[in-house]
Amino acid sequence: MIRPGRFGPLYGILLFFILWQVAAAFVGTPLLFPEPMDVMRGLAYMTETGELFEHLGATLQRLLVPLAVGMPLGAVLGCAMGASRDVNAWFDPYMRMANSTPAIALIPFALLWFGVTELARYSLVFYVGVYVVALNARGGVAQVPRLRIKAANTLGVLGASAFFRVVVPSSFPAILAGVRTATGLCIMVVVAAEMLGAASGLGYLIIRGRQNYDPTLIFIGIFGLGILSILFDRGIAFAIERFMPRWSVRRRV
Amino acid sequence: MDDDWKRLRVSGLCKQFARGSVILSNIDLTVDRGAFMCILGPSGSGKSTLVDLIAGFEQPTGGTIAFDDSPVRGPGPDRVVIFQDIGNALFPWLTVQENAEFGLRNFVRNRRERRTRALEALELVGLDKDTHKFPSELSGGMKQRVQIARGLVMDPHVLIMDEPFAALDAITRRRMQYELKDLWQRTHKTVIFVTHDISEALILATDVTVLSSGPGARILDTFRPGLPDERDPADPAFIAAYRRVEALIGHVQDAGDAGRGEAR
Ligand SMILES: Nc1ncnc2c1ncn2[C@@H]1O[C@H](COP(=O)(O)OP(=O)(O)O)[C@@H](O)[C@H]1O
Ligand SMILES: [Mg+2]
Repeated sequence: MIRPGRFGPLYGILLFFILWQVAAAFVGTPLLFPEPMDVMRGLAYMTETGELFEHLGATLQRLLVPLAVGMPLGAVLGCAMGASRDVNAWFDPYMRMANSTPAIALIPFALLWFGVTELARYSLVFYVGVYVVALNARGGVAQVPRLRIKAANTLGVLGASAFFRVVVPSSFPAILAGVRTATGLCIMVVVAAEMLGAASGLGYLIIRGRQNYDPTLIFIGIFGLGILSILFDRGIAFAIERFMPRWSVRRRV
Repeated sequence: MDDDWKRLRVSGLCKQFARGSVILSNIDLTVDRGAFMCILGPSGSGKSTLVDLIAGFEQPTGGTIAFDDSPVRGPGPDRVVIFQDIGNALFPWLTVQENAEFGLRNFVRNRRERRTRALEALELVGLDKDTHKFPSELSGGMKQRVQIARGLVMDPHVLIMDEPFAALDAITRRRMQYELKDLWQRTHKTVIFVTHDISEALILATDVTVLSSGPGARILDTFRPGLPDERDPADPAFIAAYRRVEALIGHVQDAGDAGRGEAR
């Protein structure tokens, strides 16, 4: 196992900035490739005016609102599919279709139906949240060790009781993996949707940078996406640790 | 369920899985209340299948399983199974205490009573100091003790143990055997204990049943070893019993038609 040194990441970041500076100097065209300091200045400016948080917040909201509804729904649907052949038969074709269609390809559809609205972006994120979590939940239910169910049965815990007390909790790690995958996918989808039509958000920032020949904006947008990813990653880890410590990575269910 | 039962009787039990070969043929078995019945048989002879039938996980193709005259139907806490698979038998998201209480939730309303009963059972297996731990923090031997406590809590008519110590290291296994023996002597719970280990059977059993190797396993012999309470593998009587079982299993392996009478 690699042990990260105390300042390990710091060195990496430093090296990154040095390489960036060298590369920018080498290209010599700030219009194509801005120097780190330009981006820092732009970042500082947008932080000061609050514009950065406006866009970050817009994207964040487009993720959180539909995911908060979609992921629990996906978890319930996936568990039901895992539990019942009938329910699985009804929804499986849609799951297959969803899983084999890049969600990004559906953006034009959503914009056509709902126009350039919040609803269009919400529906895309909602859709991805539902099917990704559902697929993982179904897989989790299918992979519950049969012995665990037998252990419940022999203690007199049968049927629905065994399902809710053993099968569902056993599937939590799979569902949580689905939550992680879904958020990652949804960040991509929402940014792409913002690029194709929006007046705010990190995707919009990036596309505005491209249209205005202002690469600093593009870099700031990408930087914002990095923050967003870290926010989600840490947020999920924290939520698990705080609210479901029994399923934390440390506990290895 | 009738609490005054006297014996668990398995008669003419047959099992054949759909379109498969016959696994068990015509198994007769009587387990008296309070007995420690060891079912001894080579791997693949159908011991776990027999356990699944008695536990109610599987339906027999023929024959009956009954406490006195009331046949068993489906799995239930009157016949709690202790499984060999240490890794999957416990609920990893529950603490030792919660694992032990698991079955009581559906039968005992009072939360405090559940706690007390689980704690009593954990005390019996010497785990009352580890109630807050999670299964991932326990050794294999401790996990099996939790499983035993979780079963004892239900106060079953019989505790059915399917090679419970087979996955443990030799030293832990021997210690667990003597602990189980001690536990049985204190509680006089009826036990059906399945194993492929002859000395394990002879250390524990009041009654021994020997299964032939499968497919189509049948009972080769049922006997009471008649050994003293304190079993010593070096005791000549113990060795004699060991030889007897070995001969029984050995005969089947080389001759195939060794008479039951000869082995007696
Ligand atoms: N569900 C099943 N379907 C078909 N065959 C089975 C099933 N369960 C067990 N068997 C077969 O029954 C035989 C006995 O298995 P088992 O009862 O596990 O033996 P033991 O516990 O003595 O090692 C094996 O040959 C096994 O392949
Ligand atoms: Mg077995």
